[in-house]
Amino acid sequence: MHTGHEVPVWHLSFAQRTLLGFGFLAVRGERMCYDSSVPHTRFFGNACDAALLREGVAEVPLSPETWEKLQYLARLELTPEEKVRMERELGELLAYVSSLRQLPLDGVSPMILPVEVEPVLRADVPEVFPSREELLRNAPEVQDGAFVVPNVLEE
Amino acid sequence: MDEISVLAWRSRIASGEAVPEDVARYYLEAIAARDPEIHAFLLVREEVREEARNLKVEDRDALPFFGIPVAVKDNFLTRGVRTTAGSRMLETYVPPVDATAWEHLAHGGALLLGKTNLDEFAMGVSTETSAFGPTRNPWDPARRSGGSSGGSAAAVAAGLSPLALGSDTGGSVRQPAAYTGIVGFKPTYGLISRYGLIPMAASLDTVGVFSRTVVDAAYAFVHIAGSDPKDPTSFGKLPPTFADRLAELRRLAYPARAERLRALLSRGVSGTKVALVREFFGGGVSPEVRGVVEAAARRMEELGARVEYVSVPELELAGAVYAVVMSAEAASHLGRFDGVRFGLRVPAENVDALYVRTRNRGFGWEAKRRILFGTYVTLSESFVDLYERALRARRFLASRLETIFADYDFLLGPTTPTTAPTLGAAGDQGPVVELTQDLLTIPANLAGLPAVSVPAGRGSDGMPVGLQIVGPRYSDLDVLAFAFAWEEARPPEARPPFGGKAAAPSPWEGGNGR
Repeated sequence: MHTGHEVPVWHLSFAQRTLLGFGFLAVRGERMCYDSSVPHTRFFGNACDAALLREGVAEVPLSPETWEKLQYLARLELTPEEKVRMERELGELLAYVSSLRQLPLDGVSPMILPVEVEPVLRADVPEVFPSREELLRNAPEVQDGAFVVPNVLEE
Repeated sequence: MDEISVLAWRSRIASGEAVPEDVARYYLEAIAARDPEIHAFLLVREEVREEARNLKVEDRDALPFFGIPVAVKDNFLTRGVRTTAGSRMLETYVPPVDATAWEHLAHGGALLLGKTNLDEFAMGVSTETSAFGPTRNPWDPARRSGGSSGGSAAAVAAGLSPLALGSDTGGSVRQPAAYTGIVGFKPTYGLISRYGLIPMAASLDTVGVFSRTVVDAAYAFVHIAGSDPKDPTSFGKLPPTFADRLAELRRLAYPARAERLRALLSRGVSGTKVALVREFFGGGVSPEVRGVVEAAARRMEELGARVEYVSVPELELAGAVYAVVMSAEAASHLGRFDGVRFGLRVPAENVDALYVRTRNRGFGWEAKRRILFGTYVTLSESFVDLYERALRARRFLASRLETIFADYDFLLGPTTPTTAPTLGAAGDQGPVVELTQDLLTIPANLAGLPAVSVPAGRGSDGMPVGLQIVGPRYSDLDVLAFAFAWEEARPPEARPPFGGKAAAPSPWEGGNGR
């Protein structure tokens, strides 16, 4: 069923796989894709077209497992069509930011805020919020002054 | 003198030539006539008429913004007035508090004229990601007004408001100001409280102002700057000379404050050292934009500034640093939209499904992409290679810029690579192409530097070109002084309005409701 265009599995760590993947994207300009029906297998170049035709799966630098994890952490779920476009755009961004690896950053500390801020904390004094009613008015569902959500405990 | 600047109105109010009600009526009429085409506003407040009437005449001299209507970007919370951030997620959200920046203006006598359009959660370069449709450029409705603060920029450029608040994370004030031929000022990070500004990327977000003149921008900046216990990043320790000057100005009421400010800004450019950054004139910059900005630099040279070219090749990487840092922060900030406490809720049988369905429907494409990319770069597997590397690169770039400021007072360059592009192209562009629109403005956000875009002239298409002036931290008033010197010195053909279809400021004919 599968032709000789397929590239066999490498059991690499995720970070290694991504690095390798971007390397191919950036350096060789070669397309790469995964096929969810063939776990741990990647396709390159024209082999992608075959894979795409077979299952409508996109060219991706991200594994299906990573996709699942990303969507779970972000609490978003994309339709298959959206996923194709998103994978392409994330791939572009990842190729773009890979240029940062050129910089000599040894000994440079991370910069989290652009100004040095003195750690001044305000006095620990309770204040009354100006309008509790106005605050709760924006909630989708309120009962007895509390936010209502579906049951979060197991029956 | 611009007839519809803040200080022009303020002076007519002070002399009794106009009362606040006249000013409110003037702008409501201008909006009714012009905004259906431009779509700068998401909400217009007819209530300003009554609020103008209710101002007490005895407050006229004490309040610096007495009776001045202000347009506010719709990502600033305004108590009791719907605030959407351009998103379906907040379509019916009515904040219970005011953003500090707006509150300062309100306490100064300003009136909330309306809320302006923006890209969803300020994520975009054209207002085309707004859930409520794009804003058109007043000079040419087929073009973008820029973004994300495109509504605020268009409102001021078209004469629909004398002043507007915006937010600038990667250029969202300066870029639309350049596209619409007005002044857009982004102060040093931390000088204006971000409390009540719906965050996109907290370490980059800066409150900014749009105005028709440099003095107006400075007048507004001085009034809204200052530390705020509600924003821990506004607690930065200011250099004493700058802190004293700010405090001195803030103690003065109208008209003394305006006079003192004008005197401070009128110091000229003689002896000023200016660096033209080669990378700001790179391949993506159109020849005509380059020509206009180089002509401006030559003019400043004639007036006594020393202008030299410098090169900072690493600045080419600013977009990549920005993409990683901004997305990581945005993904984190947007976590609060879960359908529980405020905003949209799509009901579901369990709480996990509720989160997912709400976010699927509430967020637009751009927001989803930034959330997913930001989530990706902070995964434990990619954190060191992508997120932490970008934070190191950020310090690297910031220190490179600092080195330049050891030898020069300002960096000078174009604000944008081209004049305003046409609307409708955004859908075909990839995320990287969009980043290039902000490439010249991003470095100031990464390093927290003050920067202003001031009209410099126009391209062969008749559209405005912006000149960007960037200074070291806390040189805000110096940056504005340099912009003021250019504003005074620029040749007639470089002065807005340049023609096109923007409403020319009409001479004042009202007064006391006659």
